Amino acid sequence: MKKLHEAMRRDSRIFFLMGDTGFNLVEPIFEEFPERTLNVGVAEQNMIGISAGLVNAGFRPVCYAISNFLTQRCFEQIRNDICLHNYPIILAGTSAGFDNGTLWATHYIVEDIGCLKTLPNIQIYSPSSVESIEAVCDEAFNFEKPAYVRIAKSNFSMGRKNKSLDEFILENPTSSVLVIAHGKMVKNAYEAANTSKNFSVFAVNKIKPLNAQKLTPLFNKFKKIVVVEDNFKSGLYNSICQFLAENKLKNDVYFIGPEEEYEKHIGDPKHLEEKYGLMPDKINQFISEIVG
Amino acid sequence: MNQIQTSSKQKVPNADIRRTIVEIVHNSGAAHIGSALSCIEILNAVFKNVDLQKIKSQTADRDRVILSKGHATAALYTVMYHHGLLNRDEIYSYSKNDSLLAGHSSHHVPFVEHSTGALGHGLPVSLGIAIGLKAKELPARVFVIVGDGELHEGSNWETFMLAGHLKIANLCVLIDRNNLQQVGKVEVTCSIEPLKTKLESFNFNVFESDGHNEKEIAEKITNSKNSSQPVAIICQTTKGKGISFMENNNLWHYRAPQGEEYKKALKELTS
Repeated sequence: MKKLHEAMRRDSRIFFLMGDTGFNLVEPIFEEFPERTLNVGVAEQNMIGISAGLVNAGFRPVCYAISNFLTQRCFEQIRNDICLHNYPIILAGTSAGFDNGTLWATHYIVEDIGCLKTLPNIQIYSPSSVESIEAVCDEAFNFEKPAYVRIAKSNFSMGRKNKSLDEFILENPTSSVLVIAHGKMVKNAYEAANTSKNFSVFAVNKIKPLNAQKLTPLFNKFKKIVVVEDNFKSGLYNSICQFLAENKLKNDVYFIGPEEEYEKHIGDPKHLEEKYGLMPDKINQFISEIVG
Repeated sequence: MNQIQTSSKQKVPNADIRRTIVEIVHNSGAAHIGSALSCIEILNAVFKNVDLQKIKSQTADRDRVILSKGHATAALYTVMYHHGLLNRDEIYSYSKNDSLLAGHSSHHVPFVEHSTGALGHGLPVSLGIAIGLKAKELPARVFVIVGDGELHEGSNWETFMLAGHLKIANLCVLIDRNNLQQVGKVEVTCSIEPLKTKLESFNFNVFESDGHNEKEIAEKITNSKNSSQPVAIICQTTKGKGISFMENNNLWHYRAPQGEEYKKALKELTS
């Protein structure tokens, strides 16, 4: 929100729309820019349509809401009104993966990446740390294309600025195993690797399009690729598999993430991440097994 | 050379528009002629009201026209053609292979503000434009043509509610009340009445008009210019208007006139 506030001071084209989300967070922006902010109410279809209209009138909108309602309630609006027109609109979705696990299946989100990445033109970001949020904002606020930013509830910090958008978080030169993760799962993978010291961790903060220049050398170097994500297989794992197949690469690819199902019983993020092997100890256990 | 026609605002007879629509739909075998014929006077009145020069120059303060009932785009494109916004080759490519002029409105066609076709999209987008114009203190208006069956889409009501709440007065919604949707009558399928009362309760300034009386529609457009509320004009129309055997007959939601039907349609429009 701080980055958005700064960007709105810099760029008078930015118009901030939100779907009744952000209590005790967005107020300073609304106070400073009453003519470029709007709470549309609980009406996400309307919000996306309005954002497209604002582009027609010369603005660069940022739409903010809980990820589920921002991306899935209004999927057709995103398709037709944003992506068909290739409109530079940022969809900033709060809550990712099992962040809202105790609020249950209507509020946690594990299929947004798979859902949105089918759309032409859209850029998909899943920042993994406070520093990578800055790097993502630096790119997204150029407003070149439609963008979805999946903002997890995490304050993980690397203690340094990103060297690039996608990068190693931890590099183990002797290992043949590379964990690729995005969003909040980078922290889990990092903690796991810090304990076991038998694999490397690479953060993909931009899921679509994948950075082929960055990824190709990794696939040549590491034989075993483990994708760790709080999304169904339709997310980054699917993109990596497609990338490998299209480039005729023969790596072994593994997935750690949720089964394609909706939970019957609730659980907080740690509980559900534990269930699907996403916690550090489970990641280590999985990797020990594939290393043999 | 495909020169753009330079029709003056006064010289765009609705019968000419209807003839062109019948021709291009006949040529391509396209659908939705009935839906197109019901909104000719609405579109013609709107395009006679806006500053075409600003649209041609794409100035920031141009009025915007959005056909939310995008399946009637044969009407939009033909009215645009007769107002000099499309050339002859373009209009006669309608719904043919490799043409930009698809069976639903496309922003790839010059001067089309927004692609539509999936219903319930044009009105929210129009509200966004109207909010943007207001924020920039530009005096332009946004005209959006919505079908009556289209009002079943809930997104419209999200927009009506917010537009009325925010008093977005530069938004003008023209409702093509032809009483028919694809499968049957709107009132039988899911009633939208009392429409005027409903829209007034959403804080709209609501007018009613004979939807085939271009002069009356134009007057409502002009008279509502200084409204302090968003404007809705309910235009009572007839699906398939102007061709006796198409009027109020949903067969012509999809069918294109061929053979004797084509000749008969043209004859009716000429006589």
